[in-house]
Amino acid sequence: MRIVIVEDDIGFVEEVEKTIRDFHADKREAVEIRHLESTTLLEELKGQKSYDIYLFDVEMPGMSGLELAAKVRFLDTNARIVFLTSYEKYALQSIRTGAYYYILKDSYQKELRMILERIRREEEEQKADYYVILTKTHGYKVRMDHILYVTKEKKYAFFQCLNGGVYMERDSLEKIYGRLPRERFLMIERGIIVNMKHIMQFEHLKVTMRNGDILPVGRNLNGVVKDRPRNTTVERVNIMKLKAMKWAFGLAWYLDKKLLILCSVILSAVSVLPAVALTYRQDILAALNAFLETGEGSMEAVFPTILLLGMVTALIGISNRLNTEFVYSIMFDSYYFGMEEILMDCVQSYSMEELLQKETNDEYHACVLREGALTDFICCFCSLLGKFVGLFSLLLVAFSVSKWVFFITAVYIAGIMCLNLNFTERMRDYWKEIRDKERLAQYYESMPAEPDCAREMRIFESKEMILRNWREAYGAVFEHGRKYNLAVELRTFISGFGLYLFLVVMIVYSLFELAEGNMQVDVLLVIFTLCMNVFMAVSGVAKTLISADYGLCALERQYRIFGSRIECGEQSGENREAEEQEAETGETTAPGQWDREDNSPEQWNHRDNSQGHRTGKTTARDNGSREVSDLEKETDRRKSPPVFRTENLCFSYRDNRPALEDVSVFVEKGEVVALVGLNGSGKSTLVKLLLQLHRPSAGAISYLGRDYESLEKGFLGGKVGTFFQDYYLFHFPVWENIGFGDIEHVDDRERIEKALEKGQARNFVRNLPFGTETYIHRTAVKEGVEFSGGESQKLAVARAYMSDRDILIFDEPASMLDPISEMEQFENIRDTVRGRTAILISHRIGFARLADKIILLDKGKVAEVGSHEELIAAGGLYAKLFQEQAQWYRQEED
Amino acid sequence: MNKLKYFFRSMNLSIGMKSVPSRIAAALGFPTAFLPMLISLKLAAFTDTARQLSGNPSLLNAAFAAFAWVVLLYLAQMFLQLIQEYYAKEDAARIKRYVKEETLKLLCEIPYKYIENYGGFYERLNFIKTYGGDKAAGSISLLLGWLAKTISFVSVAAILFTVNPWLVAALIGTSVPAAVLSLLQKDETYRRRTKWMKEGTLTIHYSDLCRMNAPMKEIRFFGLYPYIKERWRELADGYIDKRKKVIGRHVWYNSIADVFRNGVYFVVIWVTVWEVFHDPAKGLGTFMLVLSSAEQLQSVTTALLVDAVSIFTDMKYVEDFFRLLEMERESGEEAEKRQDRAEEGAEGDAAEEVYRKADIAFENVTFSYPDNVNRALDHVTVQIRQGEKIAIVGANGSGKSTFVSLLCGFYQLEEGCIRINGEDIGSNLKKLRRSVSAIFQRFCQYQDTLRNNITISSPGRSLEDDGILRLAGSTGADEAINGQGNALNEMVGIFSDTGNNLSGGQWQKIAITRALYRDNACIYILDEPTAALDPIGEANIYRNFRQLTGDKTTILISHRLGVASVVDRILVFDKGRVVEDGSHEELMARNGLYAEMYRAQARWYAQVPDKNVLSSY
Repeated sequence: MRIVIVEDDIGFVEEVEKTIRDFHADKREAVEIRHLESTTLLEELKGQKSYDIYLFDVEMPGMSGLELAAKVRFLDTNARIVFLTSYEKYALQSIRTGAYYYILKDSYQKELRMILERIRREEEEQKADYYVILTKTHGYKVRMDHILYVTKEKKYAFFQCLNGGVYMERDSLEKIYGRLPRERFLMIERGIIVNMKHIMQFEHLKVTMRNGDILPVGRNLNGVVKDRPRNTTVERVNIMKLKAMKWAFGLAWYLDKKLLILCSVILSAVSVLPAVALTYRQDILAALNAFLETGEGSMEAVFPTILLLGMVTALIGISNRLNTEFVYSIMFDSYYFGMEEILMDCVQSYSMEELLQKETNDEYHACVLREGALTDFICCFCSLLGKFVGLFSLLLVAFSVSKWVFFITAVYIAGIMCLNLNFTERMRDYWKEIRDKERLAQYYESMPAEPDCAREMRIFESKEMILRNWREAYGAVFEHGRKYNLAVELRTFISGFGLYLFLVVMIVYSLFELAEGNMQVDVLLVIFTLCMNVFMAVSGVAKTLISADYGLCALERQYRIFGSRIECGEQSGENREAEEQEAETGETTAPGQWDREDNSPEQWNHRDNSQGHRTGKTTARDNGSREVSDLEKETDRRKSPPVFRTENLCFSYRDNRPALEDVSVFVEKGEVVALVGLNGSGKSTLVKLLLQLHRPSAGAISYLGRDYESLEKGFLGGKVGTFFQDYYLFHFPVWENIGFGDIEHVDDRERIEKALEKGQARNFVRNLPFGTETYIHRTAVKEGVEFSGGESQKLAVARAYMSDRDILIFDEPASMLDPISEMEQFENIRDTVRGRTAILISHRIGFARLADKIILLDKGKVAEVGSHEELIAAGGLYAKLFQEQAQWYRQEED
Repeated sequence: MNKLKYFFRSMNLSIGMKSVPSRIAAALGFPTAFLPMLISLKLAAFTDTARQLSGNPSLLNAAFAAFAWVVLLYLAQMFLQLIQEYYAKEDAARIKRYVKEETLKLLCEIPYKYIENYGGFYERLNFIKTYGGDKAAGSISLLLGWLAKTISFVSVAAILFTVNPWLVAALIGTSVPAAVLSLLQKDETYRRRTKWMKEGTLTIHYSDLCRMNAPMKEIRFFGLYPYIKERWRELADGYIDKRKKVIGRHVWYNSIADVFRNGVYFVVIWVTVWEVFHDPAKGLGTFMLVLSSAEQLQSVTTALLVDAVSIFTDMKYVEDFFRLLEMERESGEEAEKRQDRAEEGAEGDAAEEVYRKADIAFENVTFSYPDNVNRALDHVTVQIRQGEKIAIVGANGSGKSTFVSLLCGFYQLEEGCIRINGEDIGSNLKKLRRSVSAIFQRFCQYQDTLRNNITISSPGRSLEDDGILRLAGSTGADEAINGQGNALNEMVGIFSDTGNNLSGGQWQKIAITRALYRDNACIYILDEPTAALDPIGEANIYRNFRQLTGDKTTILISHRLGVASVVDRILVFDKGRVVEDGSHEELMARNGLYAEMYRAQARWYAQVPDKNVLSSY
């Protein structure tokens, strides 16, 4: 047991240490206790040394316990952090850092012992769960659950783990096998041990692991592998299927109840018609037979039946049109678009990081592509329902003829069903196998259509290579399709053969009965027709089952990813209501964008003092500059909290590489800050964090003194005018694209014109054939225009000006502009930001001179802060960057 | 006559599409066509035998025999049908592959202007890809099927005729409306599909917007989602309404036709029963025969009519398809021709494949983009000698990128001529392109390994990794490569297992390396190669510029006028014309547009801050 204490009160530390040692002495166990400073602890953690228990005080000089806890959590996700403090008030915040427990100092002894006991028990249980891999210099403790499989290469055993890590141990596989628990690990081949929990799929002589690797299974062990964990994975798969089905029905019910009921009823009703026709046919045949035998009967007697049969046959004719395709097309409107809407809504509830993560991203894209899955599934389901009802009615007819006939028919139907179900299972695997290759083939198909690639291709002569790669990728898809085809036809053959077997059995039996006079010939003929009808009903089922399963497959994925967020009716219903409200009142229901600022006391501390400031704001707004006396500016600065403030901000897009580390900066009101740094230094990331687009991994950000945790989602959208470096122009008319900068006033054409003017975009927009109505991009609207880099950049800058806010952020606003336009753009920015708060990012270091303060980021950390003159004088990284650019302009001065 | 030509061509194509077993299967379609008639006859015989069996066990063998015939015929029919279905599917797959391959080749070979959707190229392409290719390559199957159906029709009609001629008349008569209607629907489908492409595409695009990565931050930050969703809803509703109307009409008409068509069964059964009552000799078998044949006759008749007309209407699609494939391709030697020449031993020709040195001359070149009224280049005359390093500067839209695009032969000139060593580039586009290497402003990011991203520019060249890394070192791309787990083998982009991707600056350095890797070229074009680089990366490129570009003619487009110190000569473009041409010193002395631009940038870097720049008004 390794415990670390971070606490400034030495006396208390000694007491705690004594308590812990006593506890462990009773248990006769070893314990290592260390007392460290926060910084030392963090250094140790970075060096991969971790502890079992962390005991922190909260109120300490330097870093508070809570901050320390957040950082420790960042570096060791499984840390058990226990707070030991005199104050209760930090309890809530401690929960946010994922604390294991919170102990108050006055009664700590009893609670501490309780915690230690609990942790001890947990450790014991977990000890069995760890495998220690020993190399000459290190020992690694790996969770058993994380081991995927172990392979052997020469003298070393390689442990493949869940997170992608591979560990090496020099030992024989048999000995390792002996150390691993038998219930979980199995040797599937002489050189391979697998963790059965992570086997995703069995096939003949191979298994697929969770990370996609496929391993071979030794022949003699094939049976063993198949038997073992069947209960775990297959069970889970089946449960998932049922859950997804339930969810799908819920959705369909919510989207359009009437349609679902209507379709089910109609299809069922229509499917009993063949059985009905059969009975009428029997009557007519009986009558004819009687007539031929005995001369009894007449046309008139049979006429009504003929009429009825005729009508039923006519109806059957219509019902043939009500096949799956037809049902699909009437369900399309409600379910396809309904599902599309639900998925669209649902995506919005995810944070951006979640969506950008790989596992979610791939699965998520595969998910949203299959919006038609619900429609597929539901219409196939209704079809199947109809077909089953039809089969049931035919079975009734069979029963009415004779029990034997019924029995044989039932056996046949059951047999075909099993065959089809088994086939459906195998079909699923087929699709999965080929998915990657299909994507690759599609990529190569679409590549030459991209203008960028098309240009390069013609120059680099890479046409042959692309064709070759496409042929390879599509070849696999093609072969696969062929195998699939063959399997389908084979299956059809078997079931067709089954039919004729069935027919032969029935007819032979009937002939015998007929010969002995137990049956009439009309019955035999009906039996014959019955067989044909059953076959038709059953053969339709196979195709429909496959389609249904195809839809279900995609639905399962959607359920797995979105299911928890889509509670049918609630979420989407709320959104819909919110939108309806919006439509009525013409206001967004995003709460309190304007209200909040007015009501909170902090902002209005300086309200009275800054009257002049405010009037200055309104009158000067039109020409984009402000008259603000320096004194007022000074007063404001002293009284109001900084507009943006970050404290020890940490963030990483992916677990391993931190994009920002320990960034503490602030932007005062009315200050113009330039953010500079090399590529990858974290400038754009910082801006995105400031704009609430991502949540920090550790540290705090505040806006005007209010922590971001307390802000509404999208709050800052109403506060800050922004230009993104990787801006996006939408396939909407130009005016809407600009108007998006202030969605509430999107229709205000005057504003849009002014914004265009400021962004230097007015001239070329005026020359367009449709002016501001021109569509950007030509995706769907042929008359759209693809703007050049510089033009589109100007348009996006105009968007930032649309909202005319007090806080502005420009991230590389002129990178694609020619020198004169660039100068004009920056001059415009300079004029606009005067008096306002602004953050500027540009690679053109020269523009940093516009700013009051320059913040230089380097590899995610703050390297230098100061004004241009200060930093040049300091001769550090900033000076170097400046020189690197300036040197090329020396010619003029020489 | 054109139509006839395309008809035969599509026949040819579809026969070629079939594999040998498939052709045999198609040929087997003819004997299969007789089976329905035989089955009906045997069924009738079996029925009669069965009737006589009642109470006569002695006839059991005869009954079995009769039944055996029926079953055998059914089995044969099923088997043959299965084979035909299998090969039909296989053919469909081959056709699909063929269409994909042909359109891929087309995309690679057509003049570049089409890639930018000149003449609505993409709409045509997508339409054909979805509907046309299958029709063109499947025509022989349609024809053969039609012929087989004719056989079935005649044989089945003959049987029914022997029972009662009116049956045949009634059945055929009532099939016609259904056939006519389904034909009308087809034409409509064609029209509907063409008209609705745009709305469909737009709806799909708007729903995609809400899920794509690129616009996500804008949507989140500006709160655009409700607005976009509103637009999407409007479009979707419009689309739904249109569909409803069309489907409604479709269903209504078809139901009437169906009722009509199936209502005839009443007549059929009535007539048959009447016949049996009047002529007992016909026996029960007649009833079975008529019922089984009647349905077949109806479906065959409908199919005959529909297919016959399809063969004609599909010609629209077929023609479009072949027209598309016949589109002008960029001239250049095909691989076969090159091989032929190599075989002929024309060694000297190999040297002609690429320009060893290139003196470029633009003579009075005038050009405007297809949809644009303004002249992108207006009587531009420029001479560039081999080995010169030229910078091209100017405002956005002044013609810089157009200049290099024309140099690569991407468009055709309105007026004037571009010559290399005196030869018009239009006469041998391939040779020109082989002599050029470029990194464009919007370069391509290949979803492939880092190595392939670099070596794609010169497929014929092979260089060991050391060499590649050395080249990358000189452009600064080595840092990006070494930062990846698998170095050059690292897969980046959408096919990466870990979702790995490079940053904008890293991509640009890779693209520069890519352009330089193609060292056979004698002309380098660099269009804004440092736009995404930070000051250090950019300075690196400038420092190594001479070394990187060696003795090749280099054309560098840049907004960063710092390049002036690494190039020999500067061309200044303005509104499609070259307004200034000279070295940096000459142009500064002229005090014209260039001087203005240079000073606009340089003043930010002056050691002594320029008061005018920073003060407020």
